[in-house]
Amino acid sequence: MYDEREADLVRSSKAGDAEAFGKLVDAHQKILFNVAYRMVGSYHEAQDLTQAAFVKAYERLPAYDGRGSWFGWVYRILLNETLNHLARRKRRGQVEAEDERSGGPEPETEFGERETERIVREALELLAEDYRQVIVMRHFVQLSYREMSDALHVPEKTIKSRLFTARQQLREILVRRGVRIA
Amino acid sequence: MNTDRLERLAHDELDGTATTSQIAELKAMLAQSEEARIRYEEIRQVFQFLGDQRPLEPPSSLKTSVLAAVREQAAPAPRIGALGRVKPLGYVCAFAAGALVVLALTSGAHFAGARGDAAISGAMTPVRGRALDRQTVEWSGGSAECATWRSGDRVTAILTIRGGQWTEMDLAFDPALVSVVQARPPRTARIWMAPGRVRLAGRDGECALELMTPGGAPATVAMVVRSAGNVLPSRTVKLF
Repeated sequence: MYDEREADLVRSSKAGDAEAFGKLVDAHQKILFNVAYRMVGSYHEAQDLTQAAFVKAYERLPAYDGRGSWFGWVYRILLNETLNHLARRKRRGQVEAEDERSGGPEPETEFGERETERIVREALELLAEDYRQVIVMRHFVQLSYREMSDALHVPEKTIKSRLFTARQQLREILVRRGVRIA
Repeated sequence: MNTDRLERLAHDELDGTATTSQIAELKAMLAQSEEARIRYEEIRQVFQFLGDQRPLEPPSSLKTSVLAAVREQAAPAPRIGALGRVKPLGYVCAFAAGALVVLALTSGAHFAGARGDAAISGAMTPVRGRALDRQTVEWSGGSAECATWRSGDRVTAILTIRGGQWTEMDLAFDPALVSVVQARPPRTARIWMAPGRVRLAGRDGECALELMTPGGAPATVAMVVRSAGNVLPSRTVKLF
């Protein structure tokens, strides 16, 4: 994910080249948007959080030293935005996120498929944030253990352990909710 | 059966991280125990559920909104604080003289109550239009709103900032599709303009813009609001 071309884009962005920054946005917006969406469960909130993360990343570019991947760096910004958002939501007593999909993708016509997605999304919202994060990163945006370790600043062994627990808890939640497994 | 060992091996195998010897160990456990096969199938189905989730496409306005916000930091547009300093943009020069007249006529109008299909009335030059869109960003200390109406190939946009904090409201659009024909000077805020961009800034204020979308192109405007240094949720305002 991190290569010389990206390093060039980061350098140009630091120099104030908005077009170069636009290419970084192009490269990473899908993953970051999906991470935000899976974390907060709302299309519009995910859009707002992803936008805020990119804008903050641009503002803080001078502080990026290039030692880790740029993706990992911007990912942590998004994660902080998302966790702050979830904390604010919790303080407001808004336990369940509203899935505001107006303006988003069209609903699936096949009920069964949408139903599965809804069940998994709701089950994910019941996981602790640390566990939800690793599920999203590994299964929804297909990051490697190394990329996850880099983004979360924890050893790969910890990632593996969290993933194991997260999937186990997810299985238990799905069973409790009456999903027939095996 | 060592359930914990079986589950860890199954997770690794399904996750693609198991070694050859671990896979062999798992296969042996599965061959020996019906219970192990059932447990493996449960875990496999969890992976299947997760694998069936498809990534969503981010909204097309996301990049536009981000770039609108960062461009303003990289190269702030020249400020125009008064009617007489409004710059005619591109091919709209031809409208400038007429615009100044209209702006002068409408400068005392109050637009805050305009809603729905009601007329957007200037003091002497009422402009009727079809309501298109209304996007509002609210925060604990105030709100920012952009409402649009269409009449022919003209779109009237009313920008409103309310609250006591310093707020900047940036609109970004494709200058090939949308141009600013005229702008009524804000009452208590300031306005900046450049091709493809308009910024209204202040603690309270309101501004009427007349935009042109040749051929009624289905254009949109990305609206980014900052208040007290915080970037607030973006909105996409329809001009069609």
